[in-house]
Formats: sequence, structure tokens, C-alpha cells
Amino acid sequence: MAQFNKNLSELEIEVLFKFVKIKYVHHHDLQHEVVDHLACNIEELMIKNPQLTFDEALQKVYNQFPISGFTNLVAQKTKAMEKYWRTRFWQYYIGFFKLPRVLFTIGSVFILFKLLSIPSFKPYLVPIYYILFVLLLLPLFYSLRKSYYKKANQLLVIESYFKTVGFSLLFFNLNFYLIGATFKHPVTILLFSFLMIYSLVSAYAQLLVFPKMLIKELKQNYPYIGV
Amino acid sequence: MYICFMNSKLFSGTLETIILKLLSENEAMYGYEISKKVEELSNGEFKITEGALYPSLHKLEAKGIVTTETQKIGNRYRKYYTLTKLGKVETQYMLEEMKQFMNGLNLILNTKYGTI
Repeated sequence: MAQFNKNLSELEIEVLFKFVKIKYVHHHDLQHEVVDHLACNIEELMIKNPQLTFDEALQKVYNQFPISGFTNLVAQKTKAMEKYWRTRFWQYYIGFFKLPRVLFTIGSVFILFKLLSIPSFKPYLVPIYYILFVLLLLPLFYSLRKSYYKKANQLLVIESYFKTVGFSLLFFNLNFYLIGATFKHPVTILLFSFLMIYSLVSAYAQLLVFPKMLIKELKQNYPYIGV
Repeated sequence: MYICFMNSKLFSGTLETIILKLLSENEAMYGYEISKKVEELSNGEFKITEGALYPSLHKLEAKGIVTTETQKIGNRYRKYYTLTKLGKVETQYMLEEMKQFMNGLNLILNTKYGTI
């Protein structure tokens, strides 16, 4: 890995952070990325031309960016981060339709289908569903107390995570409406069973699995958060 | 000649291939290092603008082709990009595709009508 010999001081790095913030880079994680790039470029210019002051070098480097400054960079990064999480989440969900987890999916749908076909089981369905929902929600309330979740609007990685993960809880909400309805036709019962299992799997993933993914990501790529 | 990828439609499709080729030859690279390496290897002919480089890196990361790791270097943090397993396969495919494209282009440009 190439290294450049001139190192900017702590104070100059601070100036760069303030600079990118003024130029509408509000997320801390993106600020770190842009600051390192600017710093490398400034250091190189100052090595080539020792007469150049830090401010002059900064202006020279910033002029290389398009007239919109960092706006395009922020927009592209936001889009890419959301796609990154969407891809990771879908890869997990697709796993439930592949071996070996597909056996669990089919087995669960089949068992639920059989249970729902028994008329006397219906009164137990709503309480079971609510208990499962509360059990799944408990770890979420616990994890939300963690300090880094409170930094959600300061970090693009967390903001994009919540934007993407929150979307599929819709399925779970939908079931709250459907659960009260009575289904008699076997095909309807089968579809409902599938939807129930899918929503439970998605709730399990969103509340237990994906937060772990986020923590792993934060540990690996965002050491300055202090997870 | 000073080519700015940001403004050149001709090169817009090649940027990802160039990044992947460089990453395949280096264990891990950071954004600025990639842009400098491209300039160096092309004898200053090509320059990748920051506005084109980072969105491409972010897209590759989103697709799972590259993975990142942040390290503290001096008084700041630096993000290093590495090819994933999928990225290594994708690089071979993209390089092969690029070679075929260049061969085809050469055939067209060297027609009886002369060199363009």
C-alpha cells in the first residue's frame, strides 16, 4: 500500500471535518471517508509544492470536485448503502427457500396448515401470535438502549439500515388484520399459513438476526463509533 | 491527453473493470491510492475523478463485489477495499469481456476505410 510522507496535523484534520460538514456531508461515517481522501490529496500537493499553504491546497483539491461539491457523492453513497442492506437482507430471506432451511419453511407451513384446518385451534391462534410477537420484540427494546442506535441520524450506515429493515415489517402488520378473519378454503388456509410463517421469519430476522449483522458491520468498518 | 471519467461516456463502462483489475493485483487499496495508481499506470493519460471513483466503489460494495475494512492511519481513519470471493470471479469475467470488446473494436477500427 502506497504511503505519502507528509502528515497533516490533528488541527488540520479538524479543519477538514468542519469543511466537509459545511459542504453538506452530515454523516460522520461519510465525513471520515471524504476527509481521508482530501487529506491524502492535500499532503501530496504540499509535498510537490512546499510553498503551498494548507488552505491553498484544500481549495485546489476541492476545485477538482464538480460544481455540486460533495452532493453527488452523498447521494450515490446513500443509494449504495440502502442497496447494500437490501441485498444482505434478501440473501438471508432467500436462504429460507434453499436447502437446508427450506425444509424448515415447508415443515412449518405444513404444521400450521394442519393446525389451522382444526376449527378448535382458531381461538388459540391470536394469543400465540401476540405472545410470539412480544417475545420477538423484547430483544429489540433491549438493543435500542445501545448508544450507537441513538447515533442513527449521524451515521449513514445506521440510517440506511433502519430505512431498509423497517420496510418489511409491513408483512407482520398485515397479519394482525388477517388473523381475525376466518378462512375455510384449504388454498386460503395454505396461503395464510405461508404468510404467517414468512412474517414470523421476517420478524425473527429483523429483530434478532439483522441487528447482529449491523453490529458486525459497525465493528469491522466503523471503529470510531466504539461498538 | 487528460481524460476525466466523469465527463467521458466512452470510459464510463470501463471504470469498474479498472478498479477490479487493480484490486485483483493488490491485497487491499484505499480510494486515493486507486486513483493515483490509475494515473501512474497510464502515464498520466487517465485521471479518475473523485466524483466517479467513490460512487463506483460504493456500487461495488453494495453488490458484494468488494468488501471494506477501516483502519486507523495516523490521526485519521482509512477505508480499504478488498475483493470478495464473488468479486474475484466477477473480475475474471469482466476482464475477459473487456478483452473481447477491445478485440472487436480493433477489428472495426482497422477496416479498409483506414484508421479512425
